[in-house]
Amino acid sequence: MSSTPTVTTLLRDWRSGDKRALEELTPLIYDDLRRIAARHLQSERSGHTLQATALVNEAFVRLAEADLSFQDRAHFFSVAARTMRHILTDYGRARRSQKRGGGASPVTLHEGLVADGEGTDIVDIDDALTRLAEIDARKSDVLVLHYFGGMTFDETAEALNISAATVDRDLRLAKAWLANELKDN
Amino acid sequence: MNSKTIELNAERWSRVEELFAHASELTPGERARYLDGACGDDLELRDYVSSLLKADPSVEASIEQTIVNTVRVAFGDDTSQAEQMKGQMIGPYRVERLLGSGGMGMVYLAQRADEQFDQQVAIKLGRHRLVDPQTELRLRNERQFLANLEHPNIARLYDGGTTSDGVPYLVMEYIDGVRIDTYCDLNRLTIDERLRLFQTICAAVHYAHQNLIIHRDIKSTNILVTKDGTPKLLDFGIAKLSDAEGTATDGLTREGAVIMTPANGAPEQVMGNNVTTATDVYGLGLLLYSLLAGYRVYDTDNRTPGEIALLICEAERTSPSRRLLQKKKDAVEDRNPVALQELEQIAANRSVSPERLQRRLRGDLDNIVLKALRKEPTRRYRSANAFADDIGRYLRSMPIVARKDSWRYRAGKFIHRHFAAVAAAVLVVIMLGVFTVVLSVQNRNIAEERDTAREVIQFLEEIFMAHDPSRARGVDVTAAEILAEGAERIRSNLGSRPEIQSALMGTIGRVYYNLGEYQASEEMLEQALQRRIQIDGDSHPGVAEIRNDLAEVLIRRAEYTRATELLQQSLAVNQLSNDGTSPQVATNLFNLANVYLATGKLDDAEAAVRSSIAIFVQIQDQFGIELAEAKGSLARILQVRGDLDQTETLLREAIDIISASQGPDHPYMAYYLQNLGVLQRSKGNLDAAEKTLEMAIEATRRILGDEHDLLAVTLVDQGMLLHIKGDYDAAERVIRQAIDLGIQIHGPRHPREGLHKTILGRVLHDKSDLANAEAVLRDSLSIYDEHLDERHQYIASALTELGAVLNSAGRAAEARPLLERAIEIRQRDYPPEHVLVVATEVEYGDTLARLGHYDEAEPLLLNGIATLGGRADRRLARATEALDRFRDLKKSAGAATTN
Repeated sequence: MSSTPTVTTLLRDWRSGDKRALEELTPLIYDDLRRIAARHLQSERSGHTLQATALVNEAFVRLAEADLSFQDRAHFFSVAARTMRHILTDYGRARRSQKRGGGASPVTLHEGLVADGEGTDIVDIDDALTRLAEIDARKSDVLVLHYFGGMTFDETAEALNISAATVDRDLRLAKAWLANELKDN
Repeated sequence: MNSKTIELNAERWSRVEELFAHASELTPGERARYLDGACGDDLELRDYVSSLLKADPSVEASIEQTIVNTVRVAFGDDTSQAEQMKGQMIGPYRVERLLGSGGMGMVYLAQRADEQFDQQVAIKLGRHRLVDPQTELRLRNERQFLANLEHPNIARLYDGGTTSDGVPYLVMEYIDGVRIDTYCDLNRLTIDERLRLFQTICAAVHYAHQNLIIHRDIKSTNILVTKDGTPKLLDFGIAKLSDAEGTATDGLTREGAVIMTPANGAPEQVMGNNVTTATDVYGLGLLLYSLLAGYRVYDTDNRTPGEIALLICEAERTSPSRRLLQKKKDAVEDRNPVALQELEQIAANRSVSPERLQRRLRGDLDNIVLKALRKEPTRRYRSANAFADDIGRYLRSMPIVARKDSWRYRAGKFIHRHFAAVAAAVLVVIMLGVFTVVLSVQNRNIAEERDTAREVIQFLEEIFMAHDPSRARGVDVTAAEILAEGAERIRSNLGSRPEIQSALMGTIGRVYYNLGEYQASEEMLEQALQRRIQIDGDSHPGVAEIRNDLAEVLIRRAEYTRATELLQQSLAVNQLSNDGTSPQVATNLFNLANVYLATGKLDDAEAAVRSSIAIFVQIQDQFGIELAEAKGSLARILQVRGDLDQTETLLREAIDIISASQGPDHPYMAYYLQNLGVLQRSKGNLDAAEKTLEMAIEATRRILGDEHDLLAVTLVDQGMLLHIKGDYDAAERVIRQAIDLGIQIHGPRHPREGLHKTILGRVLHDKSDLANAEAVLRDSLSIYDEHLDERHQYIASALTELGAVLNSAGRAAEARPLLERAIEIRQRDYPPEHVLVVATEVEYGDTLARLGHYDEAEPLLLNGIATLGGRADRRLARATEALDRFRDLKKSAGAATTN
């Protein structure tokens, strides 16, 4: 363990321009997210919700050192949020292809929130985010960090190098855009 | 694919952004108009932006829900790790399957492989290898100790060791059960059933404590309930073993620290202090909290460990019932159907409605849980047994031990934090006020009303909580800010409970009055009055009370017309009960007398105050202060009438009543000393007056502070004394100081400013500063004109002096009408031989003499000397001077005629 660079070191390297650091960081977070989730699910009580943002937060608590700066914290969360998005979307695509082969039922929206049809699943959300990125990449990023990382305005602002006021404005429009895109699904 | 989607290029999108940002600041009504104007013919753009603005919030909730659901299934499929362990050997045990995992490692179901016993066990496998043999020895001893713990509700620890790889493991009784909270929910256990189950757990914890073992990590995941309903505590003392293990492994102490789930830590654990049996009492409190309320005491999601630690150590605990109320409020405000459904589910799991659940928890159960969760270990239940006992008392409907932190305790803590004596004093006043509200509400003795009282208390707590230094870090909060915030919260948060709202507004209004913040007081009481009228109608005694209090404020603000109206309305209601002789009636009369006195209606004032005294004398035991006040007022009236001996008698009586019943530091001592000093001065007893006024100033500063109205008044009295003694410069300085202080307190153009300017005019006159004297006197009259009855004696005083100044300036013709008007006013209230009448007539005589009307002037001046002759004061001096001048003028006139 002692020979592997710490998350803090990787974050700092990444921030100072070392692309490899991100490549090393992502799997670390990926593994940890899975581990935390597994633990939660095995001791989970029925009906309790397991939130992506809570997992990301716990990964942070476990992986990062206590004296992490605010900047590094924001960057950690942004990596973790993107990782979380990929984990969930990969899973969703796998389930879709299984389903086409007659597999299990899809992950649907909460009952009663959608009138009829099969509802939106994670892949629809991912697709919409990708479409938004084509129009306005920054707003798509803000949404990812918000929904998958549960990041505060200040953290998002730091990670994307914009002001917190911009985050607020972007988020309002982006949320409306996403809701608009998904509501007729 | 989407009817609401349009082709968006970069340019178009930035236009959308712009329109959306602007329109979202507008009200829905304004939006359409704005978009119509901004989009022009581009209907597609307008419709698109408008559809974005109408985006359904429930879709957002569903997006989050989709993500949550996906997390569940995406990660739930992950069983690979457990697969790898299957069939492996740990010591003599063969792993069957994964049971769960925790901070300290995985737990597997295993079977003894040597088939010596046909026994399933749970094996907890550590994360790290042990490198230090000493640590291994210590762990073995600890395990031995724990293995001695035998109790039907505690899972046994059988064995332990290290694997061939050097990883430590524990072998424990395998409990086939479900988590206690899941068990309770699945079986829809009622609150009582949950409490009984919880008592069993307390007993098990108590047993362990008697065996000197502390659990350290009591939480619902560590308590399983078997099929037959027996709860079993897992992992007793394991946290300590794991800690030892964690610290023993090099470089990974942080892992060890994470073992205790931060949200489940007690303050002493978070701070690294001694862990005792009280720590487990705290853990039990957390458990009971969530078993009852369905939520944990804090929302710890999305918080860093540092923030959680701060919450645990600093924040006030929200009671379970309050927490439910908040959750519901948040859900409704956020229009969050998921959260609302969660609340419904929590209540359904307890076989009640959400409303009933909240009511059920409120009160005793809140208090029981909060006692277990107190930050200071010594203030929790002494033992797990004591905790269970108190629950037993609750279940038998007996009085419980747990009580909400007492007012005294809270006040003590608050004062301890804020050393400012002012804040402390204000707090005490607020608390007394609120306590009265609570008591009066409780006296109605109806369950519903008691709840109201509790809400009031909770509300106040919130106000104080907001000023807890841990919440408002680094900001020093003044008493005034607390009050202002309290007032604001009452206004904005209590709209749904007008009866509480009006009671608290009344309280804060009275506090403001006592602090001399009359404007704020008026605003609060005015609102309290309107609300109270809406609730109880116009002729309710409570409404009469607020009217009276509001009138008192208005008197201070010199709003005499409205004050009179309010007092008469209040009196009319109060006279209907108790034969019209209640203290309320006496108070109304007393206040009315003050209004009449202030507006120059002496007869009305005297009649009112005498009626008031007649009532207060009968109930002197409880209303000593009020009696003294009324006597003081009568003294003032008699003083204006010129009955100085009777005035002095009344004042001395008032002083005796106050000092006998209240001691030397009562504010009224300052008032009556001032009155007595003035009286002595006007009786010509200058040395006594000087002494009394000195005492009065000292008492005022000591008792009431440096910015009090009375200080301004007493300073003026001192100025008048200096004036009499001939030290005009000093007199002017002191009086101007008093005028500035008065403006600071009352704002400009208060009647008292007029009075003080009249007094200053006299000094300036004697200084021969005629221009300034005229200016301040005219200012004085214009202030009176705004506030006073046109026949008020103050007006006569100012007119008299202005006439005298004009005489001195050689403008006797201008002085004449002013003095004639002054004499008319004087004669209305006073007999012809009264000093004030005569003194004004002397100035008029001087005018007449200056104008050459010697025959008319002479009797006035001679009468002046005769009447004022016994007094060594300014009036006699002015009369003498005027007579001398008369004689000179007459002589030169006679000489002129003869020549």
